[in-house]
Amino acid sequence: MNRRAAVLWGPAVLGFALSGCREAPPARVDPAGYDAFFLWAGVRPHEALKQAKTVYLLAGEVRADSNARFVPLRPQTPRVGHAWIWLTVRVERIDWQDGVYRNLLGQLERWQRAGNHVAGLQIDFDARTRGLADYAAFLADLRRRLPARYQLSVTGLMDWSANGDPAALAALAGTVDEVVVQSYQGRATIPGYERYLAGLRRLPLAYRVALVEGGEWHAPPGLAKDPQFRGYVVFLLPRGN
Amino acid sequence: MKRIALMGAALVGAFALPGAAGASGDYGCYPSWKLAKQGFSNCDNRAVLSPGNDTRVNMFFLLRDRQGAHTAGLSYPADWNNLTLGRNFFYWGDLRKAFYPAAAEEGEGGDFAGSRCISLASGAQSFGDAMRANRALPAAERTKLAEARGELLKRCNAETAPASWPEGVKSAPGREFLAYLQAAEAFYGALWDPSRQGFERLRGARDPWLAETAAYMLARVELNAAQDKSFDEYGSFAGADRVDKAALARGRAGFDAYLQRYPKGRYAASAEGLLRRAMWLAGDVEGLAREYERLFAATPAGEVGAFDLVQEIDNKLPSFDDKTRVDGPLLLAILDLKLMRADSPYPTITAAQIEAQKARFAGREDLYGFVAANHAFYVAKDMRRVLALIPDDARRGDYPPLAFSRQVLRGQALAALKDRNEAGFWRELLGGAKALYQRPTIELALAMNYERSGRLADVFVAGSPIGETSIREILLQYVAGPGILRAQAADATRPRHERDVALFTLLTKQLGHGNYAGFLKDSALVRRDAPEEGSLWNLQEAERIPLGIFRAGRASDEDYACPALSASVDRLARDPRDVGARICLGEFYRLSGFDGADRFEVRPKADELGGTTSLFPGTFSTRADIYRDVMADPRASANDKAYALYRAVNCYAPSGNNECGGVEVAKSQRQAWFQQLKREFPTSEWARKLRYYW
Repeated sequence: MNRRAAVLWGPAVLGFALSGCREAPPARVDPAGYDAFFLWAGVRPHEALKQAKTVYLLAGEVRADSNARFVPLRPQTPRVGHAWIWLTVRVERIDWQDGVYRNLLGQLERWQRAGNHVAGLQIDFDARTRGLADYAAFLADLRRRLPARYQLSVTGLMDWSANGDPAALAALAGTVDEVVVQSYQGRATIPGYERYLAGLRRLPLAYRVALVEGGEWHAPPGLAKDPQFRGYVVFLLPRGN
Repeated sequence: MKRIALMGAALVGAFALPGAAGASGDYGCYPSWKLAKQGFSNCDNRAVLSPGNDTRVNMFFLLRDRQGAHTAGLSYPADWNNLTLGRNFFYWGDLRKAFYPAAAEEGEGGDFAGSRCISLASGAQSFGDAMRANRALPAAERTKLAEARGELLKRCNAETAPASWPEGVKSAPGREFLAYLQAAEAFYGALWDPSRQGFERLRGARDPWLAETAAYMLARVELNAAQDKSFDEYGSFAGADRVDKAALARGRAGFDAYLQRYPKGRYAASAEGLLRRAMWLAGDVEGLAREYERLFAATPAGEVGAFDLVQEIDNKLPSFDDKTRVDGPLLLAILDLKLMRADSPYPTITAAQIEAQKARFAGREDLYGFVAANHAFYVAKDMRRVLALIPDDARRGDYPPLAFSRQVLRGQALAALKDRNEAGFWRELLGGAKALYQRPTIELALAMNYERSGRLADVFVAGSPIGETSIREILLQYVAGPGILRAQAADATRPRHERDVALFTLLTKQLGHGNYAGFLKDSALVRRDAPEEGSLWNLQEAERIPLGIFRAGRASDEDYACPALSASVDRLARDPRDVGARICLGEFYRLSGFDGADRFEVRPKADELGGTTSLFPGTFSTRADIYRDVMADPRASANDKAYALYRAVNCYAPSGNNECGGVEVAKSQRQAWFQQLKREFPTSEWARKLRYYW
């Protein structure tokens, strides 16, 4: 963990530095006020991306119906010069066959080779119902396979931080470099998110808070001062509808 | 498969709604156990078409419906054992296993899925076969050429080193195969002009494989050239206006020419898929929608290609969001339902907009009525209108997907109106609910009706039509009283898991509700080999129910000496106020994994299965309740009071979250307990041990 930390906190620290100078974000999330974004497949890039320092790009999915296939959703290798990018994979199952790992690591390398500043790999796990313990083991194994220059990020964990088995959660802390916690469902803030975040704070884990464009957001008191808090990530919505 | 792979190599992917894309899974996807589904979540699709279903699921059922496909002979996937979903709910991908059990799992897609390099690996095989088939090609040249094909990998790996081509390929066919490799290398390396020229020349090759492949590749070159500048820096498609229209037209003409000359050619399926992709690149939404509407009828529902087709259409659906350009009733219905979703970033469709579509549903009045009735149910909340739009048709022998969906929606409206014939309606519908996932749907409806009309016992009576274990377990945990729980625990006709859930619930509630004599009697039902370890987190998803905890669970540590649980309960049965025994019950909860798992306290919502008032008498005393009782009990010793204060404060250690159950108390109360411990019992071990409050 420490060995990597010095090299790898780059993008995260940038996000943190920015969040430090903003007291209270507006109640409706306007991308213009942020510098880190999720760009999902099929979403036309937003103006705000120009000022982005970090972009999480959905690259593809591992779907529930096959553990052998990485399903690509981004039609072409990105070429982003001005921001750190994360290769995000939406995952419905974690019992991957080797081909999925090979494909994913190959993508990372191609993104890197295309001249991008690749921060790392992000897993957006769409858990069925099984426990966190398996997930922690999966992530530990993934961390071992991942070249050391890449960080590992995971999304979610809101429920886990409130109710999750503490031992399994603590196990994540040594494995992943950050957690991006979702605060919204649809466009509405999830009720009780403050309690979720409070639960998360007891873990030695760096985290970002994901907001949705146009969604409601009221930062809980003390969030900006939490040393584990690395800033916000705004989920950009499709336009033109 | 190849057709789909290539079209799927395609472009924009799944839905970009946050509800679909990221939200549901992030805190684990749990189904809402009720019939209505207005918000999207991906784990609880239903056999009833609805706004909240995955659009692919709605589309799939409509495709089957369109073709009158039957599910006779099909069964639920054999390895399916997820009691949190039961057989009521499923992921999109589960349908592939259920409806196409014989289809192979989808393959890997190769290292380059999603790019034109997807064909790199399969091409090597056919290239080798073609060379072997050409008798005029000298074996030595064949070896060199086969090796040289490996050079193409450099381009797909984005390496900059130039390809090295073999010397001494002199024969006429050898030179053609080499020229093919060079054109292909240019193709994978995105050098469209040399690639185009190379394949153009090879169209007239003497080798038949080369001639056919070159004709197909030439069109692929044009298609790739057409879209070359249409991606932005993020690798996203930037819109049809960035597509090279001239190259696209050449590509379309090229595929048409290929298909005309080779209608059953080796690349015919791929060419058809790429023609759809060309239409998509051209922004030809109308044409594409017409083509998909045609394929709904032409793609056999019984073959896995139908599943793949639905996936492809769904990838392209965002293009169809402008409904004015979509004419086919099936696509239109799917879009309309999607626009009734709760939590959608799009504006909800209005009744007037649906009214205006009537002519476009001509010939599909059943589908139109269903769409309008969904609007009445989910948006306008006009239940009488639902009944008017969907007449009673509950006595059929079986139901295709749409007819089934219509009747269930009618039943939902009856339920909302508290119609006294609701249960009778569901019982009639049960007779024809034969297709996969249909019967559990009706069982859920009937169970909810019984639950809400004071007839819970009818769910569990011998010969009950409600046989789904998941449905029964929810009612057992949240609603059933001791009599039903005891009877179900002993019912040898039911599955082990269900019986164990009944007994676990009974014993836990007896302990918590203070029915100690009952606990002592009924704990005899715990079988000898019951597991002693296992998660108490969510009984329904636990593989094994750890009933053995009640017999052999940990009841004491170095803090407070306690006998086995049964001995403490025995004392409580004689004197429920016995202070030491109460503390020991708390120790059992604390040490045996009952903390935090507020199983029966977090109840289903009022409109979900299990959401009615519990019929189990009394209320649950949590660990927090025990400590407060002991603090206030004049019979409690100084040490016991100090220990209760110590433990009560510790309920919040170290996060500030309450781990002892019950209502969370304010921090000031925790501070007061802390101060009371220090003030009244300053010399106790517990006052010395407690340094903070949280």
